[in-house]
Amino acid sequence: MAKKETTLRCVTVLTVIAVICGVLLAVLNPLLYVPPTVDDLANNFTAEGEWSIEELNADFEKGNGGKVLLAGKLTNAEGVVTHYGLTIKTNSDAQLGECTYALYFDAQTDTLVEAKYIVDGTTGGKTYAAYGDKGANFEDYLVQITSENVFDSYTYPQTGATKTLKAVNNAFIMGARYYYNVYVAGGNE
Amino acid sequence: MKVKAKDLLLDGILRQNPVLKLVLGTCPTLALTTAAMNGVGMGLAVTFVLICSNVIISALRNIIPSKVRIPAYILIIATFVTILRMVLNKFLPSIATALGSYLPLIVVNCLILGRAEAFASKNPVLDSAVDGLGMGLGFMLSLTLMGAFREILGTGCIFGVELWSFKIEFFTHQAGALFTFAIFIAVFVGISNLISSMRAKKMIKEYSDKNNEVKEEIA
Repeated sequence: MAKKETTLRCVTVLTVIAVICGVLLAVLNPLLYVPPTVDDLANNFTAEGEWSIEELNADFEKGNGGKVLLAGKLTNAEGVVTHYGLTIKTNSDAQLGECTYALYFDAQTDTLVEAKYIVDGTTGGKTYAAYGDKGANFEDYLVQITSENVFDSYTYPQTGATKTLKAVNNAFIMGARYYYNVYVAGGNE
Repeated sequence: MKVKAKDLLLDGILRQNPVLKLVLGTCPTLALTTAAMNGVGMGLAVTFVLICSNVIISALRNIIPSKVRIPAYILIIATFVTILRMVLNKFLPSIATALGSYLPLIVVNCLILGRAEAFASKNPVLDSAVDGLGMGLGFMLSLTLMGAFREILGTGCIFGVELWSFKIEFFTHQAGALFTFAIFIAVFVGISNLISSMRAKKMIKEYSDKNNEVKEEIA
């Protein structure tokens, strides 16, 4: 009986502490939340023009690899939209933590022209080093977004026996799906 | 109380320095001491979590059953680390970026869990807060000094300000971190031993002087 009471007390105390901690964080989260800004897109891309927000925290469910934090467009001096940019946060995968990637698409040709990481979620440094500088920035790849599955069959470099770049791959898969559905096919998900 | 608070502070900063004497929190010590500013940032972050977690754990020390004390401590520490992360992301994003994944890893920093288990769970709230402050300051001081040492020798800068163009790149690498850590521990232990032996000699001298005085009085 005494043992049962002790167990009950342990569970109760832990539950109460967990609930209080959860409530505290739930209260503080909206106060300390930092919404994404177009700075992440503007600071990582060289083309001139003015960035503006198209959509924040897109409710985009296709794929299970992450979330589109921000979609933006780059307008030049003549008022023409030259590029679209996406900031994508990918889910963690194995030894890779959450990563945030910026993808840039040419608005005229619907081509992915550049990709840069903003937050590296790896604990062991820049796992993207496997790509080299060009790979990390996706400079050698000019991929036209002809379908939402354009990246699904891509083979990516491996960075070791256990580390894969799945979390990074997810950014490209998510980006292609979002871009195709929103800007190419024209229908929002 | 004043004497005890002073002792607790000195214990954390010097006598029981968490990095150089207790060798706790070694991962961030080796990884983040490439610059003095990283040491200040990490030190302040750990100090905040140490004080807050020590206070709460001390206040709940009679309520938390000993069987579940470690998960309870982890819950409390993780909450404060999450709050700290949110605050840094909101107000000091550059520090949050510099500390990177070592910021959430404060949760498993053995210094914090160690002080919770060894001190806060057995002592009153105020003493635990002072212990957290002392240990945090000791941690910050060690990291900042090591960071400054490596930054000056490795990049010729201090707090980002260039001093000269002479650089020894070795100190910016992991091997340089281990080398610096070893030098700092050796110097710290050397000075500690020197002070201890000086104190011991002083005490022996005082004792023998007193002894002689007593003998003279008897004679």
